[in-house]
Amino acid sequence: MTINLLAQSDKYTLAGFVKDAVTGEALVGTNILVYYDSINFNKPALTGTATNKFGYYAIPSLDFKKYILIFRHLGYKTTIREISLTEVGRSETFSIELFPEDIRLQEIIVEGEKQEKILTSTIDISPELLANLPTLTGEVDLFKSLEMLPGVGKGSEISSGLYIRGGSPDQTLTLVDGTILYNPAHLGNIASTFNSTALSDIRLIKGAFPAEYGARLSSVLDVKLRSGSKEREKGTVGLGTINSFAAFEGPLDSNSTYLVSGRYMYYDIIQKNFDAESTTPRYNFYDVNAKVNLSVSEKSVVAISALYSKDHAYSPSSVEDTDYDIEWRNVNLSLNWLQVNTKSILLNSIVSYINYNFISKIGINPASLNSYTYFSNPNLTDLYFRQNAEIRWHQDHLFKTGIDLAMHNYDVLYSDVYTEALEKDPYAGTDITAVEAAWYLQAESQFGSRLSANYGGRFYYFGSTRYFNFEPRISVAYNFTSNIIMKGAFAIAHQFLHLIERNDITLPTDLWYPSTKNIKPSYSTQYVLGFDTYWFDQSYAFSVEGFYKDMQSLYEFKSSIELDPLDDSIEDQFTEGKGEAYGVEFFLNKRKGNLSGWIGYTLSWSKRQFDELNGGKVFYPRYDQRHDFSIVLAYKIIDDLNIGATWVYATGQRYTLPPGQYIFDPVGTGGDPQIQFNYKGINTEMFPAYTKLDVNLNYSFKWLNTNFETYLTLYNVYNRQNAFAQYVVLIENEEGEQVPVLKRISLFPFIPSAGIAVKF
Amino acid sequence: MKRLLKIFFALLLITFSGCENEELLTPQFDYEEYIVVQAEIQANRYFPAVRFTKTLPLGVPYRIEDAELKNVTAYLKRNGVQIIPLLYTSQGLYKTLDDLFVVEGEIYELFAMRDETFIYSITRIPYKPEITNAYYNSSTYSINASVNAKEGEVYAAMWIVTTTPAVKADDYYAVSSADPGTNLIVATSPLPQQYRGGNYSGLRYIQVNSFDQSFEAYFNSRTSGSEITDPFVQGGGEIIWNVQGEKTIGLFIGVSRGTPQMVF
Repeated sequence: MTINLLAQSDKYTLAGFVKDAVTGEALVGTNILVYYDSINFNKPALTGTATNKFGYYAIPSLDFKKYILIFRHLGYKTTIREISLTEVGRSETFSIELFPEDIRLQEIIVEGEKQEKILTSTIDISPELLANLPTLTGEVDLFKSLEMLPGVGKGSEISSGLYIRGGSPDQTLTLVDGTILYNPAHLGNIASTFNSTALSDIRLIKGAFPAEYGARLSSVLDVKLRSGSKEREKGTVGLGTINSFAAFEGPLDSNSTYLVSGRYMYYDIIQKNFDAESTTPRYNFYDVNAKVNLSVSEKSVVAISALYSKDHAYSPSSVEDTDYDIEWRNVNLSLNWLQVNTKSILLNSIVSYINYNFISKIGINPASLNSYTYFSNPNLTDLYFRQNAEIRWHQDHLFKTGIDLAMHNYDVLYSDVYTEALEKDPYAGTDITAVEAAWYLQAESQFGSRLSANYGGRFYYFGSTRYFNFEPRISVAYNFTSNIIMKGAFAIAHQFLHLIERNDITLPTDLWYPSTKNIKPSYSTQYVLGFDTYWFDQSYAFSVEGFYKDMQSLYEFKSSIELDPLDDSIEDQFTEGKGEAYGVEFFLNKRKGNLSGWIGYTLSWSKRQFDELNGGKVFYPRYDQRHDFSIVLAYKIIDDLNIGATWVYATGQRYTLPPGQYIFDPVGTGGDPQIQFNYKGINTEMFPAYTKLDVNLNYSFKWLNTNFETYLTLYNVYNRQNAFAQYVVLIENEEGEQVPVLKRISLFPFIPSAGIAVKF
Repeated sequence: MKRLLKIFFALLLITFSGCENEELLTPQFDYEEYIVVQAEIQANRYFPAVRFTKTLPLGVPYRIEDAELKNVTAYLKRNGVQIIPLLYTSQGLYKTLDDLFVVEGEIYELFAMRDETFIYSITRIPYKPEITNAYYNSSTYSINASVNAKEGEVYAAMWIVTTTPAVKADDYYAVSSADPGTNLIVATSPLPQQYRGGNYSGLRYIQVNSFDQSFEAYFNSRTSGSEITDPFVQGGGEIIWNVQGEKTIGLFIGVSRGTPQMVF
């Protein structure tokens, strides 16, 4: 096939999209090699590139000649096209569709890099690998899988979000199809709030992220979802022990597709019926995702997405001392327009509406007859506009630039007493409106054959504080050989929105609060240095990365808080401090073959210092983990049978324990003296080491002309009683005296679970 | 969408198994001894005593004979001039040799020495609360009182229902403070359901007590030392004491009890 493209000057830019010929999905990371009029594999290609996360490529600076293009993508038939550049038009779109090969994929593994070898601390994860890893719900569990990577810590078994390189979950920017998600995971990271059956591309940047990302302090999780198959209508319906899900997709017409999914998790119902005395929080959630993709033209695609998720955790009747009722809700609506202009500039415009609502009603000691003694209801509403432009003006230089504009409204309601009237009072609480604006410029350049760099900067403006600042970002890679790459990075990042949580409660108590005149933006300075090596035709990759992160203007609640909305400002209850995190990560990754997976180890420290906490002394946050070792393996036994296993060994979570007891008389009320505990510092002790083995078996078969997928998961195979909580309680000895002893609670023992999904 | 008809479900294979597990352990952590001081000095009464004890490790029963300190050298200074020695009596209690009548507005300082540790605290005896109005708040079910705020004082209230026998709140609901000379609303905790009806309207009382201002910080932080009874709660917050000294905690506080006021 010969294609004549037009040109009018002496240089030409060839650009376009690469898609799956069957489903119409964009293919990320397709390699495109350009040869002169004949292919000689003994000579290197004239030039080459790879598609970005939209499946887009651009090859600039081509002469008016005949070229041969080779499109190669794992799992797809290699496609060769001949192109003659002869006439008018300095750039033109040349899109192509690749056909899948019949054979199963051999390479499905996490890659330290895909097409951008410049970025440090970046891991791209294959959705195919995730599908073979063990999960409690039987669905792809992105967040639990990410916790297996070096540098990603393990929170408690009911905590949500990612603890990356000593940062708290709010310090990770989560983007789903370019739209921010405030709470991307359900409780305990048991599942993502977005459609995990439609994962297309997953990128985790653990630190020193490039200038195109901002508004968070530590790290980025950038997820792209599929658009829905153009081939035919498809569906998956799954039934599991604690949740069920359904997903449907297909073409609406020749130019548009849809994808809709829903999920309901009914853990609380199972608990009530099978384990009524359990003190584990009663919990349920549901979520609905929908996406419509419309190809306006070969150069223009519009996607409309909607997401709604709601979680509810509440205290079981078996718990007498604490009463809690916690609900949170995500609403995201977005319009995403991807277009290529006449100069082969890729433009991506996103308009999104985001609403995140979190209601905490907690009574720690309901003896006061006022059942809830802590009530907070932050309601965040954002209207975002983002536009990014990508220009490959030279073969060795790719420029990206873009703007972010956001209108934030934060309505924060809080009180030390709960009434329905207060919750419904539209005038109660603190109402803050702020404008956030950012502009970035970023370049990805190759200097000679060995040195490459990603460099740029981001200008920030935050309205409520009139705060303006600049964030430089640079990441450099030097190839000693094709298999040994040295990397380093430096970045400064700001965060205007703070997640302030109760230190004395391990239940989720999200209180997002923006920077104001009194609450400064947090900022971090990050340094990364490391190297990557590859062996055996790049079947194995090994990387070592050291990092240091300094964090300023972090906020936490004071030790004792007063939440009378009439008398006390919520800002008076916060205290400002700083933190640092440093460590080294080792990552051995087997990338090809029937057996694939990785071994990761992290040695790290995370520290905090607040003048008004812990007597001003440095302390470790709960999620500080000195050692974190994990093994992840996936093995294809036969074509339809896969086994996956994960094993983790990590330093136990930190907690606070009193070193002594004393008696004290109630003051002014009379009554008997009571035994009290003298705490000397925050998080001075550690739980026993956390270790767990999970195994998963996936089997696919066809019956009555219908495809079935079954799974069997063995969670916590050797029934390790990992501590979820440890605290001092009083028991009576034989003489009737009260003795303080340590009580340890562990949540999830060995749990076998199974389920089946129907695909049609 | 016709193919939806092809869907059918298969049920779970394994029954959900039980979840959390609890075990009791003997704590094995470094014990660090602290001195504990407590005195509640009430206006218009005789000076009670100052109790000096030490903390005990976890894992053993609390016995006062193990905790009391007998070797403390302590004295009071009244209004900055009068020195009054304190002498050990029993169970860690140190008393004045002669009865000492405490008067509103007086300032007491505590000086003590145990081994190499110097201990100090100061408190002012507050005035009896001056209540201008008291009423039952039917929306919060609490009894409220208006109090004339005075310099250096904070206020807290409890409800009392004079049934037979009388019942009263276990604890204060909150500690309130305001600029001197202003009117301050002090509230009790909500009345129990059974005492909210009109038939108790003549039996409901509010008692407002005034405290030295350092009580407010202690009150708001005191639960940090309480026993934890729930796995989702973590202790470890700082209690704000008004006794100073290396590895010393405690409260040396002046109190003035108000006269209960009937509300309808």
